[in-house]
Amino acid sequence: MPDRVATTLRGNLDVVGLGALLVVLLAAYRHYDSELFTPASITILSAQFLPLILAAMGQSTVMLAGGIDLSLGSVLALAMAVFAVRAEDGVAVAAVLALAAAASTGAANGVLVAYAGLPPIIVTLAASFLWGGVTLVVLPKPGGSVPAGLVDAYNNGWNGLALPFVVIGLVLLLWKTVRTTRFGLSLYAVGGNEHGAYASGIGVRKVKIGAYALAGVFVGLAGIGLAVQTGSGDATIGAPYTLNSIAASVLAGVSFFGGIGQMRATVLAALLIGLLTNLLLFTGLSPFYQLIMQGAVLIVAIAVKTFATRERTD
Amino acid sequence: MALLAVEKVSKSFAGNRVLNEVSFDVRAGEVLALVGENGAGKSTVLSLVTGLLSPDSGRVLYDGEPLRSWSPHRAREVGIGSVHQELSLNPHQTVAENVFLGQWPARRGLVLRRDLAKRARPLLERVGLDVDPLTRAGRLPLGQQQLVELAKALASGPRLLILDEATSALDDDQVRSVFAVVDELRAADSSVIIVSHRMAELFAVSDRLTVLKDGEVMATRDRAETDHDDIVRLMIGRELSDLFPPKAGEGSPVGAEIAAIPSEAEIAEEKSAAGVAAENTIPVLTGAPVLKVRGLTVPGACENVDLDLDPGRIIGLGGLQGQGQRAVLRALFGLVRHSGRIELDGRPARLASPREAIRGRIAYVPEDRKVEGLHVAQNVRANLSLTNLGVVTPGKRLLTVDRGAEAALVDDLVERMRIRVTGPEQEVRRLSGGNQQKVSLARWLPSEPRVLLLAEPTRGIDVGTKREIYHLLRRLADGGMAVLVTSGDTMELVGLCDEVAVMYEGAVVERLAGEDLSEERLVRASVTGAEAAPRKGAGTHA
Repeated sequence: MPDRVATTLRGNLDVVGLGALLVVLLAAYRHYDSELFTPASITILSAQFLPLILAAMGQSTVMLAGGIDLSLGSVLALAMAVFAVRAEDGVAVAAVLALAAAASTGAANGVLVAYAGLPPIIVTLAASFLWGGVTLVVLPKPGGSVPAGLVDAYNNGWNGLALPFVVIGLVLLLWKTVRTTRFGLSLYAVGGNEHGAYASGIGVRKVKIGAYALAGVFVGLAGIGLAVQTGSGDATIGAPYTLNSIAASVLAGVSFFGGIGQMRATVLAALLIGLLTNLLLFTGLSPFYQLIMQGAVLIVAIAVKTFATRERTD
Repeated sequence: MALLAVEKVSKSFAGNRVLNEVSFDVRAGEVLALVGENGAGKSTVLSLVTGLLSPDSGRVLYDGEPLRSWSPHRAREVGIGSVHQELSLNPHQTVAENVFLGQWPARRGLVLRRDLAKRARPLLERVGLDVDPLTRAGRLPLGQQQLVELAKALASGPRLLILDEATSALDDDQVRSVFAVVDELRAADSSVIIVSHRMAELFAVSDRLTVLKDGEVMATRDRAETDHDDIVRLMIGRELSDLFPPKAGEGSPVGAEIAAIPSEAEIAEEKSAAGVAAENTIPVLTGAPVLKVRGLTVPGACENVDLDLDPGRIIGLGGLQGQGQRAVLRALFGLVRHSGRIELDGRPARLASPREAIRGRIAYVPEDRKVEGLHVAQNVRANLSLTNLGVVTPGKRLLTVDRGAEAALVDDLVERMRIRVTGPEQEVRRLSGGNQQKVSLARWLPSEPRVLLLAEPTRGIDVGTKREIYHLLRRLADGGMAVLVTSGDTMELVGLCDEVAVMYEGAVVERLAGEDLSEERLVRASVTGAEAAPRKGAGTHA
């Protein structure tokens, strides 16, 4: 029996490790904010962290297929802008439009990566300028407005229900379903051994386009979430999400080379990064030192993780 | 009627013609062996059939229809299954997921793990594999992974199965289960194309043999009408004895002091001298070993390897693919972390990095030239001077390169090694494999290494260049160098080496020299190593 436990532990080393780290962080957090575990506090925090969690899920999706998306922040801002501009005409329509915009820009990224034959890092860097420009066309100045009722329900709970939790639950369920489809298996196959996947008759290009499009959906949701959280849109607010989403994915153990990683670990890691940022804010350190601390903590965490899970090679 | 007909197919890569009007066919219910040396074009022609490549000219007919807009996906649809030497498994997915890679059976769009495992089991059984379908494929030893590939090829119910070195990592029992599958398919009127370096296997299982050499079909023979020697003669285009130089102590050290590839006339001279020398044997240079290795261990790759590298001798590391040979070489060049005692010239040496190895005058010619050897996007000049910066930037010039000295160095090496280039400015990636390998070797010569480590020195190289390299290595040895070679080609090890250490699961299980060094003994030691080898630890290759 202990063997079995050990095996399970090893298989979920990322989740277990991140969970442990999360407990430590929560304990420290509680020291500064004794109200942490009240429903109100949990609701508002989850509202704040949701966009990063969703963005990280998008990034992980692309990374699992062996790619990377440097245009994620721009796409997030685009979805946010579209939603904020159209929200007054009807939230549902605006949400559909925002998601469609994000999914199609994601798919366009996928087409560029799949057909250009260039490294995804270059293609999506170029694409980030493209989508950044489009976003400014949609929303030249910060503005637009999201109905106040929705903003309040999202940030402070709706009939005692924390909506961000519902969203995360639904999105994880969506991912679990995708993962058990042929597309989901192909995604891992392409990321794990692209040539092998091709030689096995998998449509590698289609899978890549699909991965970027699915990532677009996650990022679109993140953009909507951010618009609802802040109550308006801002074309320039997306940038930090690009690198933060990569940091969360790497921290979660998603391989840069593709094929390895679990989405629940990504959710935990994104949560961790969000908490860490808040925590540093509480310490009253100057913002400069906060950045330095954040960088240092990330490097240490990733180094420890890499060391603990490194596979032996000859 | 032929199930598959290859008609006058040609294919070139970057101006190198690898296939020249190749034609052969495979009938329904037939097993065809495709034979040829490394680089003869076997894998290329098979890639045309499986849709990984398309021909420049000529055509391939399947079931009487020419293949158009061909891709691996289409090939699989019409019933062509293949197992290649290079694994196409995804090491991070489960065995069951790999067996159905790309064609997972789905119920209402969902692929269920348990369902997948259930369907995989009979296929695994068919190939004689007793593993849990839910294991990650990457955790299995190489041989079992190869069987998973076979199960994967069988999953689509192939009418034509291609086995490209599919038995290279298998032990006797596993080979038997593969052949059982082949017999089953033949009985069901399906066809098989098999490629293998193990000649005995080919004679055991095939109906006809087609021999390729340098991209051309030399002949197709019925198994009953041919024998081992006939096929080998067709493969290398000359007698075996002509390919390899005499061994240590048997030849005359003609011109041994010059490290250069000998000309035809010199080879002939050495050969005739060898006849004389054989009678009054020249004593082998036997001093103390240059490099004495005791208990060399690379975690997860090799364990407790002892080697004595003597000046003047060529030692081989044999065995199946991936038994730790590569790790031994890389450890001795300081590329991987290792433990054990290493003495260089009787003094303990620490080889923690290539820099330290080079300082000890150890040189390494890697298996994958493009990764650990050459800078293929740069020209021949830059590649040759990079390892000889001491020569091209003499002290008085401080830091700048002396173009004159560099040109002299490059010209000298190009001439001595008979490297065929348009000029020193030609990019290395534009050279043929054989000439790339010569550059990869030549770059070490000016520093006069005492130990030369070579991994698969002739893989993907034409037979003429092979012969040149064999003679060069012997000359270097005669000049006092200690040479260590790994090779998956048993003929090469037997023909070239003075002694071969056979490895299995990271340990040396047998050492063969003199009379004992024959292909038969070598193959037997490689695959039966299982019984002799200590069965602990070292078997997992990441």
